[in-house]
Amino acid sequence: MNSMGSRVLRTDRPDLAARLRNLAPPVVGAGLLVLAAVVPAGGDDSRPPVPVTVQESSYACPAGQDITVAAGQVERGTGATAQALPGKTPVTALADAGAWRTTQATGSGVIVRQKGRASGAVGFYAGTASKKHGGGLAVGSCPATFEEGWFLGLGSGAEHESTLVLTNLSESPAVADLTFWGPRGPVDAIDADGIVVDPFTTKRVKLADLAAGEPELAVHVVRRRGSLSVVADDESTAVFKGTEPVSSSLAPSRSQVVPGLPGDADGRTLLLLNPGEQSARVGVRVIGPKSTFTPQGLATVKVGPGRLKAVEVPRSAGSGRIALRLTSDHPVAASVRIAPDTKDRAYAEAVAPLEGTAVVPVELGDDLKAPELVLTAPRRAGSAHLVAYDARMRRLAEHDVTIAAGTTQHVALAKELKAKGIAYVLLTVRGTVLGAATYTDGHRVSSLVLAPAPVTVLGPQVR
Amino acid sequence: MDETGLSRHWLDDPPTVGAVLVAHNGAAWLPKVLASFADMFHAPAAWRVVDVSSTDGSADLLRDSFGPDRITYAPSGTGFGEAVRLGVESLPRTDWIWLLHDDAAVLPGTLAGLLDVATSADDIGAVGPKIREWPSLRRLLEVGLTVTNTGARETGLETGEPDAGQHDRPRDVLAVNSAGMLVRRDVWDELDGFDPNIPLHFDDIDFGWRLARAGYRTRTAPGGVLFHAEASRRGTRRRTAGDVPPWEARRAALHTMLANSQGARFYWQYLRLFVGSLLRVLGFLVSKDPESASDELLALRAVYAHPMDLRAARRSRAMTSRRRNRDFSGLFAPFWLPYRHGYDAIRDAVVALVKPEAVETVGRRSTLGDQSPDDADDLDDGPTLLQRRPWLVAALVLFALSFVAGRGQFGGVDGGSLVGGALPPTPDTAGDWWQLVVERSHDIGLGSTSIGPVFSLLLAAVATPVWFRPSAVVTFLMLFAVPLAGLTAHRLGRRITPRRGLRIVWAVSYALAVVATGAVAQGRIGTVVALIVLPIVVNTAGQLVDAPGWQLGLRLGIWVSVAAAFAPVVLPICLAGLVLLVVLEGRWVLRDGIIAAVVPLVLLGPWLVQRALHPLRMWWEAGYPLPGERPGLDTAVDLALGRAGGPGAAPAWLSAGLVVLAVLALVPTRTRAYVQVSWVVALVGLAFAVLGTTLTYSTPAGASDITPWVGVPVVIWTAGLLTAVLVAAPEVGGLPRPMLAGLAVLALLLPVGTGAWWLVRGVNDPLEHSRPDVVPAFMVQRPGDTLVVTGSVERGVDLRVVRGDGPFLGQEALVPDDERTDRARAAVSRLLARASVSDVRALSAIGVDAIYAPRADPEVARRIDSAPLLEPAGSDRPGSRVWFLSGKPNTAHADGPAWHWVLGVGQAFLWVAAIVLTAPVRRRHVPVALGDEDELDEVTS
Repeated sequence: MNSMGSRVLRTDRPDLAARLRNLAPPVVGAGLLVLAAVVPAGGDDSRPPVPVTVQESSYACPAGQDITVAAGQVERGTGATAQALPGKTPVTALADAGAWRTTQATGSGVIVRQKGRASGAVGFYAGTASKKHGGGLAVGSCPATFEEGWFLGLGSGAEHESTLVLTNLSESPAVADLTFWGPRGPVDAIDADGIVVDPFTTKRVKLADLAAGEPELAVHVVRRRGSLSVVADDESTAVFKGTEPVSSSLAPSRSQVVPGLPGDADGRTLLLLNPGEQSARVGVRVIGPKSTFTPQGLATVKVGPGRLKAVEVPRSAGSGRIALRLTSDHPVAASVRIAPDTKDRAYAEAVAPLEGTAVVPVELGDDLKAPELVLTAPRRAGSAHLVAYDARMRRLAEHDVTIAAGTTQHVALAKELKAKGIAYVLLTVRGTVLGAATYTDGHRVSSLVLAPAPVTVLGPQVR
Repeated sequence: MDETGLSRHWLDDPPTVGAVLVAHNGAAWLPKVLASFADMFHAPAAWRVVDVSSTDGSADLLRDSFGPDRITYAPSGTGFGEAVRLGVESLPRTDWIWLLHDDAAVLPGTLAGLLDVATSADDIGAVGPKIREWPSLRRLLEVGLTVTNTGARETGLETGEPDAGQHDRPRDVLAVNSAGMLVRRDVWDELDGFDPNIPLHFDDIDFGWRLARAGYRTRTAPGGVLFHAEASRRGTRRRTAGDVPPWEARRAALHTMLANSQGARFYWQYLRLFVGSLLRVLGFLVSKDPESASDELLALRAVYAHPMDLRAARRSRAMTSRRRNRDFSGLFAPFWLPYRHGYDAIRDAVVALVKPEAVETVGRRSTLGDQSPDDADDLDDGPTLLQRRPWLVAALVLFALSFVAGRGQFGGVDGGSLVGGALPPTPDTAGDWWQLVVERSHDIGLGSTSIGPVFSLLLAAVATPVWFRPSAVVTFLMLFAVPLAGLTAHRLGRRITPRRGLRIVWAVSYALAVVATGAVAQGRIGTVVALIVLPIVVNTAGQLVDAPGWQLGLRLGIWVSVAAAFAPVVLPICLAGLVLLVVLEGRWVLRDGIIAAVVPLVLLGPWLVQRALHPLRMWWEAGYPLPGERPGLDTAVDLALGRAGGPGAAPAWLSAGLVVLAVLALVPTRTRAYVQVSWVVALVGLAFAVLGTTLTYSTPAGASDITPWVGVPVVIWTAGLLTAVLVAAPEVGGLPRPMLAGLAVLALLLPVGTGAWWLVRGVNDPLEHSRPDVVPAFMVQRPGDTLVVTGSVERGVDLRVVRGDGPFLGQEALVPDDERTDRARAAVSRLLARASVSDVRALSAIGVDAIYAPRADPEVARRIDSAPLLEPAGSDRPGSRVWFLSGKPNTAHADGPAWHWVLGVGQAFLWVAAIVLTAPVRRRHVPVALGDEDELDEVTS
């Protein structure tokens, strides 16, 4: 009986395979759901900016009787126009997109517009100021539309006056906001917000009109609306005279390099701006001709919140061409004022490593000699390839420079590129290299930051 | 009993009435008809009977009743008018003539009631009784007649309208039925009776019309009641040689209209009726009714090929005419009535096609029943509507609740429509959707020459009756998604289970599962339509299995096409389902399965090819391609519980009970096989849902890397589980009561909980009823396109170019001009990198004249700000920026190839042809002639 019963049970009980079949649907469903849980999601859908080839460039140069304006490019463009402001008078001497051209234009400024795929159009200006304006040598680049600029080393005192030259490059009114800092903290300025620049005009804003009596100023310029370029002219008629166009330093950051300090141990002043609300401790290292080291007496600089601090670079930094490498616990902006004697002054600004090709202007007027390049490789070794061209964009000479890791080298263009009629030099680097060109004329000196020509620029990915 | 006899003024000097009864094979009705004559309060002074060659014994009945002297025998083929003429000729002269049919019974007071009205004024030429249906007795057939401009006989009554005294006020009408008509003898003589050219149909309308033109009035006399079997019109009279052909009714209508039209209106009617008749022929052919089409053509030929007859008829009418038609224009039917009838006919045809078993007839009962006019009893109330039609009540409740859930979405903003989420606004008219189908190039931002989406063709067809309010279609589909899905699901449920209660719960659960995904709140009209249609697809597939046939295969293909037009992913899912069907059912459904698979490829046509070139775009449904959920644990849980992510979804735990029950449903052995089939269907849906979450697709208009929304497959998964539970539910009968209660709670958690959530939350947000808001209103009227920029420099920028106030539903699926799109991207890329004049001019050259950043990233805005030739403008929306381009935009767009419109029309034709092919051929209904004993049994059984 028992055996029979167990036989019946065995017969009625579904075998294992049948049971598994019954369970199959939920099991398959669970498996699919596990798949949905574990399959990696698609990658981050963010699309970082990518290089965009420039098809057209516009820039604005200061103009005047003693100012030579130069226009050039990396590759020939397909067309160029130049107009002197305020009347938009054509400046035909600058309208050839296939040559290095210079002229002295009348007016408050010149707007150059150049077409051409990856032409890399750039403009420069140079001149010697009258004694009334400091009597110094000024060599600067003509800026395109900017987003924001950090200008250090300016002043609004009786003998140290700086002027912002704002140029509107388009048909619409442009608006800019200014913020000031001094050694004692932020400086309240009058009417510094919402400065309107009419279409195709240049507006010269004397800092003394907004915040008078400040011998040392840092200015943050933000373009709020419109197409606007800005140049800062710094003049000193004090004992240490001089004139210099001040370029924008890098936006405040925790690590930066100020390259292009010429070879003289005296008259170097490190300017540090801490726009934040906490004190910043800035470590200073000197990138010298042979190595990088910490200068004695300037290991760490403390900059109070919202303060602009000027610190003398000690002689321990050496008399060779150097660069300063700055690291800080809070973002700071930096530049170095160079005043080797009482006749003139120059500024070296913190810049980003050079990417692409930079144009070094040589032909900038009758009396100006070819500059000296001061190149720094802050971390690993780098190299620079120099090619000289004449005004018709014919290649004249080449030279290669190697920069050892953590060192600063200099290249005297007149010496290394033995050719006559050099109008400009194209500088292409490999590795992380920063630099500046130093122009001298007797005791007069001027420093020009080396920046890539606008062949490509970073733009958002568009779809 | 004559309750009004004492007040009747005419009794003082009663007018004489001579009655003429015309009989023709009316033996089926004559016994009761003759009996009704025997007991009248006021009887005619003279009688004359005309028998038109009856062969069914009618002559004997008449002879027995009236005696041989009062009978006139007319030859075969004698029309009603001619028969009356014969009768009147042999009738002694009386004041009035009373015309009677052999299938019309009277009440004792019928003639008295007629005389009450007839003697009330001197200009009354004819009066007619209130005619009720025989034998229903309470339904009204006629209380006066008129005619529409298209020649349709019009009673002004609803079909099956019961007599509740609502028409008991005498009134002037154009005509009255010849059955029971009381006509003044002198008027009859003046008008020479009925027109012999109109032997049967329309003779009464023609006579009334002529009478009105002669300056007399025709009035209804509701006090006189007559019961009419309408044997000739309904074809229940045995036919003999010489009877009028079926097309005579239409010929008589055309003849009457044209013979009585006056002046310039005649020419208009002449043309209109000709064209209208041809359109009717077309309509009959489309609805597969060739016999009616043939009748229409024959009638047309009979009238238009004999202009001299028409001329003679018009001349004779002119001789007796004293008034213009416009003098009594109020007696004609309103001008819009034919269109209303046309709409009703189309609606009925569609209903018949979609749901043939739902077509109810208000047909008559046998006219030979025992019920006589004297036995008019009230109907028994019977069980309540809820007991008799629980699903009807449930559906009505769902419709009512939809109003609650859709509160605030039905209107309120002039010119607004449902928008938001994935749903673009609706176009201004249905014509815009038609235009999308046939135009060579589309007027959207950057222009487009691509082929419009097929769903716009379907929307255009559905929205045509509401031409100027196409938003009503979208509103109906979206806000009534639950009852609509419930209706289709319930119909499928009939196939699955005979248990009414379970079926209703199942259907309601499915309907709420649709809204629980958030598809409605997110404006995903593609998902909504597909899920409404999918139960029909499954039902049709079931019919195919029951009785394979190419027409069912075709119908299945059509429904798949409808669903896939709105949600293309339905196509691969259905193909998988068809494969499953063939595997389960065998090769005998293979041919029809192939037909069902091929039809969508044909009907979706080139648009499908466009999608197939980028297969992952099959996930892009009608509307904007809003992304769904990416893979992950949360997504897996959501999928398991029937959610596809996004706003507006019901709490997922409401479906937890369903999953548990679906697993338990595998336990009973008796139903296990069917439960497993349901699980397989569910797993197909789940597999597609999981697959969808792991993919991404891009659209040609800009958006890319979009994770598909898997609402459709997720609801298929849910529906599969629901079906598994439904199939196994009857097996729980033997379980202990507490366990039963627990299972019931689990089962009702989804419908009750989701229903409550649906009502409380509503279906708004992001769905809303408003105007299009792609760009601010002040930019809509600008001549050029607007470039809409979103995103940031760091994470990438998306651009969209829109025309006017942005795309309407259907336009979002168009592919903008490739070359212009590339130029726009390149120009914007350069503009945001280093703006120049040429970049802005490049935008102008492709038709852009404004840039709009709805959520302007500061960096993007600053870069656009730096561009020359751009004029910043104020925006009326916080956080947004607007720039206008100086210079005139180039709005000229390239035209597409000429064959585009041919393709569009061809595609529309294919849809119509496919639908027509699925419909059965209609044959003329030939009722069994009453009086034939053999057939009588059949009719009365």
